Amino acid sequence: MHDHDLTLDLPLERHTLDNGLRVVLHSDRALPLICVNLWYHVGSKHERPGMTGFAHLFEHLLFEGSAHVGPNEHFRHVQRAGGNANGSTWYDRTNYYETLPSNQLDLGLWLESDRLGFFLPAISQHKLDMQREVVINERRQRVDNQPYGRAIEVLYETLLPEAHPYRWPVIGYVEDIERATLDQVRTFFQTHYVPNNAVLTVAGDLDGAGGAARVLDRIAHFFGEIPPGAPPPPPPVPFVQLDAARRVELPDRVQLPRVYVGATMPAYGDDAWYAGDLLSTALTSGKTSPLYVDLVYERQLAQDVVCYVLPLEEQSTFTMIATCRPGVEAAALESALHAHLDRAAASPPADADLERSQNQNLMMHFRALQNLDHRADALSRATTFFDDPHRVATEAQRLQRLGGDDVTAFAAAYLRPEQRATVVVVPQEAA
Amino acid sequence: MGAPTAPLDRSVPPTLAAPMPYALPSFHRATLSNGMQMLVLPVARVPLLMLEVMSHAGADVDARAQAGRASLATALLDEGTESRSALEIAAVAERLGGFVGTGLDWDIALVRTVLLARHLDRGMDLLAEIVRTPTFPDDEIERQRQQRLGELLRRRDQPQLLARLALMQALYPSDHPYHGSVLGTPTTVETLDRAVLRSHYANHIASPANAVLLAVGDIAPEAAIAAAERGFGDWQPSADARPPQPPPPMPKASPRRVIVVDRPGAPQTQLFLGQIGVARSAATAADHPARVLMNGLLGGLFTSRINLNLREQRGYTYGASSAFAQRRGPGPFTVGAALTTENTGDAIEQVLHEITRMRETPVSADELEEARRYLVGSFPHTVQRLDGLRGRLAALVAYGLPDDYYDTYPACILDLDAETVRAATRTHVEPEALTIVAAGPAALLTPQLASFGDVEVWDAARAVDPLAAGDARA
Repeated sequence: MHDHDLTLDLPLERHTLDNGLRVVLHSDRALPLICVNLWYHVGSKHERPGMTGFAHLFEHLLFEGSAHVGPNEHFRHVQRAGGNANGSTWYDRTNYYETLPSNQLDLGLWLESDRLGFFLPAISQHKLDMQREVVINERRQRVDNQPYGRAIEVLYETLLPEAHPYRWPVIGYVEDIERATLDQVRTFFQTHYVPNNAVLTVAGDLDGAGGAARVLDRIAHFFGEIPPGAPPPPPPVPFVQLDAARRVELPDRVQLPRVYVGATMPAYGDDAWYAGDLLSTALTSGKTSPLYVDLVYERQLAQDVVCYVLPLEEQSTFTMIATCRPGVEAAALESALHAHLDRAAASPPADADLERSQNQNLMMHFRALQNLDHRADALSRATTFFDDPHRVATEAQRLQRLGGDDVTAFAAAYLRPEQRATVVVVPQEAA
Repeated sequence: MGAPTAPLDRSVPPTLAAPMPYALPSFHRATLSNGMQMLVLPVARVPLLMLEVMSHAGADVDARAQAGRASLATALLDEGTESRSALEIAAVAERLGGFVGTGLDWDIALVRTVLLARHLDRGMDLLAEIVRTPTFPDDEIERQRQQRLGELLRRRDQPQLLARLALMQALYPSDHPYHGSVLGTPTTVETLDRAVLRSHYANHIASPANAVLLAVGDIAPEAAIAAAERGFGDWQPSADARPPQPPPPMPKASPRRVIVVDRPGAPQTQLFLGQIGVARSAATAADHPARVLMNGLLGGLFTSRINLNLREQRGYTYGASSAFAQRRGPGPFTVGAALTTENTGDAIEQVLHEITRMRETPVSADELEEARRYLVGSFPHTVQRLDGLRGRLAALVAYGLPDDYYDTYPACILDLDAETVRAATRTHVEPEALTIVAAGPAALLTPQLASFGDVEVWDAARAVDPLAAGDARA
């Protein structure tokens, strides 16, 4: 059975300020909270080899104060108001957000507009040096000192050609992070941090903040005076596919080998992207999924298996990951994964797997949208990528209308053996 | 576009509004015909439902020689019942887009399903089947055992876990449950057979008096209670059912130890400092807000003294934090950070300095006000999701807190003053007593740590398996 008829009501307004800032308002009175969520259309794809990690390092600096907000004061102001704040950098974008009690909207708008309009006077070499150290430690903690930490980097290095904008990791390489200069910080800010390169979503208890009309007034009050700029067009991202399979072995400080298989696929938003997403759910989501049943449950070749597609703006990736059981050779697991991908292109998923996947995707949609900050972020994303916040509400239906043949066609077009990159992480020889 | 309502002076921050009172949505209590307790929290934000049976059968009931028994027995509940196989059970929930699974921590064991709310009856029937009629098939026991042995082996790769496991061994005596981990050790997991697992079930789970049913989501309380009555109302305890077990005792505090878990060539060091903390219970509830506030100021918040010192002033780490573990027995208080290896010794000095400062001098009025307002104002952030709401109810059950606990919590926080924070620091954190564990390259760490005490160097295998300590095996 399908539960297609369930939809989530997402009341929306959208506006554009004279300076080009796009604004989305979403009303939800379930909790006395309001989210201020700002997306800048700049991410690691705007970097070049030699300056990798810069967009993310820059994000750190944007928390170090602006003309009217002292160092560490951003978090202090937000916490004093009873709120949370954070930011993140990704391939296509950088986001900044505050979740606040709904009577504290002005604080979020003041903080975000101050760093968009008045950031440069506050930067210093000391702040850059300190955050450089913090970011290098972040990389060590999340990547270099984690088992399998470099595997995804190596997979992308294997899958994508030199200088392809999605090839390097968002966090960047240490030698590049060490190279970043204050001049680059200034230029990066002036180039990308302009109102017409941003989307601002305010979501939550708009009535508690004085009603939608007042919220819009306050947004104009804080952001209206910031002049627009001329953001450069995004870097061209050619759609690439491998034409011959590639394979890399990566020794690491691990007990159990792990196999990564990746391929490129169309961008988020394309019909084929949703087919890829549906396939990934069909293959590995849940204990009754065919890869779990075969690899983990029955043959017990794997400790775990997972498969996912990323929502990237220009072209996306399909990734499958499985870890060997103790005593299992990586080659056995590797060939089993490739056989499953071959099968996906040869015949459609079983009806039960398709039904499960579509219902799971609908549930995931609801579960993801429980958090106001996730809703706000989804609205900013849909507006940044598609200029259409309403896509958030219809996202689940895009998956529901796909059938087994769409999934097979996707696998036949994008997951052929010659299109796959494989990285096998193997235990390092003992020193 | 509306014109600005007043001229904008950016140098003046917007006026801080008064904290808004927020009450947890009210929940209902019910008693089923067999005496089983139920809590229902109706909330209609999304058309979802979470149902859970939580049992007072957490890992702290395990004897040390059978560590991992509660965990393995709980994991097997949904791996076969009198009417369905493991995969058939999973298929019931997954075909509907939901899931069913089990979980375990030190305090409780649980079986949970999340479904679209319209599937209330099916979800309740499934939970009842799993909790009441598990069969512990031998082949499923073997599957789960092999998977766990793989997970235990992988722990050697994980610096944060290694440091934490070593710290627990150092803080708690070897006959105390918290000395080990909920999963047990490779040695004990090998010994757990069907008879052992079945007796755990019969003693601790197969009893309505030892379980509480939670229902959270887009449901009417009457419908949820009626469904629960059908599923559980006639459930009777097993002949071997035991009453809930007392929490683990407060062990004698041991003097400071200094341990390096050697990871030659590691690019960073994972540091923990810790001592035995406080049990979470009705008896300690009155002082809980003071501990939360003190911990927030010391290391719990982004703007805490330890994080600002180590991250923002020195750039030693991506983040440092402190926490009191929430357990019904006396869990640990810990301070942790992943650090540049060469800064580890100084980072320890800085942490001890910040603790001493909070013990000796009252925090400033600004810091106090900020932390109090944060703890009160951010409460609704934590109950946006069904699992957040569930967590609030589960804490009432696990720690025996009164039903109005969350109603009184904000006022308790706002009432605290700087002297109370100082007193709480003095009561709960002693710089000289903190045991120190650093997982990283011993060759670089041992000289930096020598001034804090005699440095013991462990290998990863010992950190993962307490029973291997002093053992001749490699």
